[in-house]
Order: sequence, then structure tokens, then C-alpha cells
Amino acid sequence: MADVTAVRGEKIITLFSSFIMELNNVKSGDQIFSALVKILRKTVNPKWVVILDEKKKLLLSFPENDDQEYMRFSELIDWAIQNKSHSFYPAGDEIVGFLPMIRAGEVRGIILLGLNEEPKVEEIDSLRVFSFLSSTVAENVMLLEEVMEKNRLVEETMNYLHSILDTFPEMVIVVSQEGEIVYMNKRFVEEGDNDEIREKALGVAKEVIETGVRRVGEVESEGQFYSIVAEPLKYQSTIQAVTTIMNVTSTKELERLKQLDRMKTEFVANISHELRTPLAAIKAYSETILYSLEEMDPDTLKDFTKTIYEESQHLENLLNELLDFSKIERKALKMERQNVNVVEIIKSAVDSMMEYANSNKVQLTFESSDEVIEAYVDPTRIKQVALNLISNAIKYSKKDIENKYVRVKLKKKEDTFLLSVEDNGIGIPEDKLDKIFEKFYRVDSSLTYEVSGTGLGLSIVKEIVELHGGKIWVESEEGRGSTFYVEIPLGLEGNNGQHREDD
Amino acid sequence: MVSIEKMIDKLEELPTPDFVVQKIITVASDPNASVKELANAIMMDASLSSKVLKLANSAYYGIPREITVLNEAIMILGFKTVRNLAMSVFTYGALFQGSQGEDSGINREALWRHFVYVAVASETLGEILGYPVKEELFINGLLHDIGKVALDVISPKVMRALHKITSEKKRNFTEAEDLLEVPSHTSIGAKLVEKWGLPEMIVQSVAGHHNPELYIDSINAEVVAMVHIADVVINTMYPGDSLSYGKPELSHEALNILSLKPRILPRFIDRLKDKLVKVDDFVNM
Repeated sequence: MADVTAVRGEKIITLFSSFIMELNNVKSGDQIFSALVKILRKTVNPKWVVILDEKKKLLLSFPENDDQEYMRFSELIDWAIQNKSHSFYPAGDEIVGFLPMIRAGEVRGIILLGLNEEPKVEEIDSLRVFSFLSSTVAENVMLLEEVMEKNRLVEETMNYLHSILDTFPEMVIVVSQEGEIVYMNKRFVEEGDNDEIREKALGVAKEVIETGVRRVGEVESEGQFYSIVAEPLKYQSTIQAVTTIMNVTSTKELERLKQLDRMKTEFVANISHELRTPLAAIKAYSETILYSLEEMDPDTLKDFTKTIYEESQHLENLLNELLDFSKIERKALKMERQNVNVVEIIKSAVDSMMEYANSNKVQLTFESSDEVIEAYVDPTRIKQVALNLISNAIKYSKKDIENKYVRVKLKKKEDTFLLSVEDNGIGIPEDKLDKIFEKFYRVDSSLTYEVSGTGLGLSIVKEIVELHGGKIWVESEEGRGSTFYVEIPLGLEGNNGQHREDD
Repeated sequence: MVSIEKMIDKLEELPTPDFVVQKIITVASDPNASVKELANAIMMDASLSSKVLKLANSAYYGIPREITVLNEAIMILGFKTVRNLAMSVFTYGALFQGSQGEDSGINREALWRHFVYVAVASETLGEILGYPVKEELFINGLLHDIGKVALDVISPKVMRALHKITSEKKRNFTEAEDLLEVPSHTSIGAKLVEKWGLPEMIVQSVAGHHNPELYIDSINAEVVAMVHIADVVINTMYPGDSLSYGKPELSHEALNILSLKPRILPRFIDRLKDKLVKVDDFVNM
């Protein structure tokens, strides 16, 4: 008896195992029912099996036929569905089984079986479990099919959106609240994935996440200019930053050219004005002398000719500046270097500006760390640099304050000398600091003529300094004053006593 | 007042399921049993046979064709349902047999109604929650308060005292047991069904139907919890039937065990009401 039970137990386990294996492979509701029929045939070997849904619509019939024989049990089917009861009914020479498929207390269909003999308790229990399992699996498979279909739709939509985003000329990334890039479009992968851009873009995105408002930024990388725009995006109760990075190099270049064009136009107007002023003076004074020479006393005449001389000198300076500039443009500016004492050169520049300083009520001072600083430089050009910086400092002094000063300092360092020109003048706005060394650039609008000048001075100075292998920079605060620094290598090594011409 | 040992000794005085009922129980749970065997077992008692057939044809099952022979009843309703019917007939007899001496004065019709209602409620809950062997729930519900039958037989005095407290002070039966410090109907009932040789599932639902959390790790946890909820619901709907008049206490653990969502309760109550109107044949046996 015990052995029989064990064998039966084993048979049940085998049946369940093969049923579960069958169920593992099903992908649709129909396949479940085929698996069910297969297992029913192994368990009770029915003459026929019919599976109906809860509205008695035929889902499967084995063997296949559509004679609807089973409808003669219609009222028993209804009863079994209504009562959720598994039951068997003797009908002629066969026993008909009614196995409702129940899931979560609801009948999802019914299995009908035609048996040759009445089933054993164990068989009834197994059939009952099979029907429960099938209805559960059937429902899961149907849900799965539904979910898969939805997933497929979602995926399609996502791919569609991705391909749209990938066609953007801009790079697009999305940065999570934790500061990680959770999305990047194709453009970013191909073009923008370098450290400079990534770092800057993440910085802008971080600000957006912190503040919750739109932020913009710029970055230059490998000669290309990028503008960055980041917008906040609420996502699952966190804030992310949708960050767009645009290569604006061509836009920038165009802008630069436009500005250059505008500056050139301004420059022409400006330089005409600059040249006309001394010329008008020379013309007026010489005309007066020419027509009134007889009536003039010698002092007046001397005054007039002195003015003419000074104005022609000014004109000469302007023309020299223009000449220098054109040389720079043609890369033809040459330095005539020799060993000189820089202190002397600077001192002579200060001396020659003293009168101009006095007439502007500016106190001009000079000090040097050493009495002699020897360097291998072009003395005329270095003097030109000093003159330009000092005259600018005086020129841009404040109009109505006491104690205006310009302090010129020279300092010898290890193998360079440092020239600084400090003033307490009008200063330079911060956003203009990097532009003042550009050619034609003037902080005020050139056309106002408040201060005379070609706008070429500083660009020439910068060129001279750089031709000497030095550098020029400025520290300034608007309204407080500026300090220009020029640092130039002494250039003595290997050049002692030699006279050399540099490009 | 009365020790449990003494009570258990007196359990001997209680009616034991006779040979026929024992045989029915054995056959219904034997995997090798056939319809014929079960039918033969029931047919040994003619009065039982006719009562079982009457119940099988009752409105509760609503079978569209009249059943005239036991074989059909067994096949249509299933082994377990037929076993339940036999068990119902037996339990009804045990309850109304009463004590030999003094009468406790309780309303046995009401108590029997409670047994049947909880059996139906348990089965209905099982149906709604998708418990495959809902017939097992019927018998577990039917026998859950069998300890009260035992008390009534063994010690009518105690039963009378308990009933006085619960009815006059509107208290629960378990509270009265605690007050009088008498062995609980759950422990006595569990001993009894164990002695009858009924399955462990029934022993546990009798013992745990007020404290389902005790059997949270048992394989029968769900059944015990469902019987508990059925008992609470029926006690709420029909206070006093079970000799308990206080506010029934619902175990939250039972809800957790079943992962029961409150939204299914109205559905449960509706379906239960539909069924309770069809159980007259059980109530008035």
C-alpha cells in the first residue's frame, strides 16, 4: 500500500513537472490550453476535451470538431461556473467533468472532459489543480502579452524620439539631480565628449538643478566656441537639467568680422578726424603768417611757428603710428635690438611726458629698483611702449579730482624687467579688459571724440612687447584706476655685444 | 474553577463520530478512494443517506438536475462536499444530544445556525480569495466552535455561568472564559477534534480561530485566518448566536496573512448574503 502511494506520488510529481515545463515554454493563451490538453491526456486520458471561456465561447476542442455536442450540458456548465464547483456528471456511458478555471475568485473559463470511467479522488484533485494553474498562467500570459505590446509601443516611441534628438545640430544631454549624465544624443557622443565641454556643461547644469531656473554659459575648446543653455526638467520628483550645447564658432567668427568691419569704419572716421585737427591748426597758423607776416611781432610769430612745429610733430607721431600698424599688419615690423640701459630709456620717456602731465595736473613719478638694468632690446620701441602707456594714463585721468597721479615703476627680476604704469584714472570696465589690446578698440565710443587717439596705440604696444618675447597685462577697476604691466626678458644670454635684427 | 485536565477527562462522555462517519472521513481523504467506496460508506446508515441526499439537492447547491442516488451526488458535488454533509449531520446530532443531567439553557438552534453560517462564510471567503479547495473551508468553519458543544455537554453549570456574563454584560465569550478562569472553548475544541482523529488543519482552525497569529508559520495559516474572519463577520451580523455579545475583535494579522484588501469585503458580504438565504435546509436539519 505504502509502495503504491509512493509510486502514485511519483507519478503526480512527474505529471506536474512536465506540466510546469510545458507552461514555461508557452507564449500565448492558446499554447497554455494545448499544454493543458496534453497533460489531461496523460492524467485521465479523456475521450474528448473542450475549453470554453466564461461566456461559453469555444477556445479549444480536442479532437478538433465544431459540432457543439457539449451544449447539451449547458445548464450544468452554467451551474459549475456560477458555483465555481469542480464536478462530474454521469451521462450515458461516459462521465463528463466540469472544471471551471478560477483566478482570484473569478471564473475565467471552463474545461469539459469526457471520461470513460469515474475518476479517483487523487485524479480529481490533480485536475482541479491543473485547472487553477492554467487559469493563473493563462491570465499572466495574457497580461504579459499586453505588457510586451505596451513595452514595444513605448520602445518604438522612445526610438522615434531618440532619432529626432539625434538629428539635432545641437548636442543635447540630460543631467540628473546627482550630477550624472543620464542621456546624451548622437551629436554629443560624436562631438562633445571632451573634458572641457563636459565639465563646463555639467557646471551649468548643476546651477540649474540648484536654482531651478534656466542658465547659460560658454566654453572654448580646441579653437571652437560653444554656447551652453540648460533648462530645468521635473522628473519623478527630482530636478534634472536638459542641457543644449551649440557650436557657435562660425557665428562668433562672423560676429568678430562684423565688429572688425564696424571698427575699421570707425577707425577711418576717427583717424581722419585725428589727422585733420593738427592739419587744421598748421593750415590756420601758416595762413595767418603768410597773409599777415608784415604786421606780426617776433614773439607772436615765434609762438605761431612753435605751434605749427608741435602740431606737425603730432602729425608725424600719428603717421608713425599708422605706419607701425601697417607694418604689423604686413608682419613687417622689425626690432633693432642692442644692449641698452632700460632705466635711462624709461626715464627719458617719463621726462618727455612731464610737461603733458603738468598741463593735465597729473603728478608723474618714476622709480626703479636698480640704477642700471641692462637689456638687449630695441630702445626706440621700448621708449614708444613707455610713452604710449604713460600718455594713456595721463589721457584717461579723471577730470575733476585732486591728487591725480601716474606712477611709473621699473623692477629688475631674475631674467626679465617689469615695467608698471599705475594711475588713479577712470579705469576700465571688467568686460572690456580683454578687448583693449585689440586693434581699433577704444573703451568709449570712438565717435564721441572725448579723448583723442587712433585706437591703435595699445595694439602696437602689445605687438612690440610680444616681438621682444614679453607679455603685457592690465589690472583695473572701473572708477578707481588701472595698472599696466609689461614684462620683457633681458635677452642677454648669448647676445652680449651683438647687434641683431629680429623679425 | 474547573481544570482543563478534568474537562478533558470528561471529553470521554462526548459523542464520538460513529463508525460510519469515521469511515466517510477516512474514505474522503484517501487518494485511492472511488465514488463507489464513499457511496457504500454513507449507505451503511440509511438515515444519514437520505439526509445527505436532501442536503445535496438543497437550494444551497442549486444543482439544475435532481440527484436521486449517492453516486451522482458524490460525483457532482465532490468527495469532500459529501463528507462535509455527513459531518454536518453528525455535528447537528452531537449538539442537540445535550447533557444527560442539567441543562445549560443556551439557545442551541442559534448556536447551530452560527456553525452553518461560519461554514458558508469561510467557504465563500475562500472562493473570493481563490483558495482552490474551498470544501475544506466549509468543514473548518463548521467545526470551529465545537468546543462550545463540548462545554455544554461536560459542564452545563459553567456554560450557564458563561452565558449569563456574556448576555447580561454584553461581553465576548472569550472574555467571560477569562473572567471565570475556565479552560477556553478553543483549547477544549482542539483536544476534541484531535481525539476524533480529524486532520491537523481542523485542529488548528479550532484552536486558533480567535488568535490566527498563533499559526502564522503553519501551512494552515491561511485557512485559520479565513475561519477567523468568517467568524468575526458572522458574529457582527448575528450577535449572540455564538453566545458572544461583545464587539468581535478582528485580528490584523489575519488580514496580513491573506494580504486582504479592504475593497473586496463588500463583494464578500454581498455574496455571503446571497448564499445565507439558501441554507435553510442546513439550518433546519
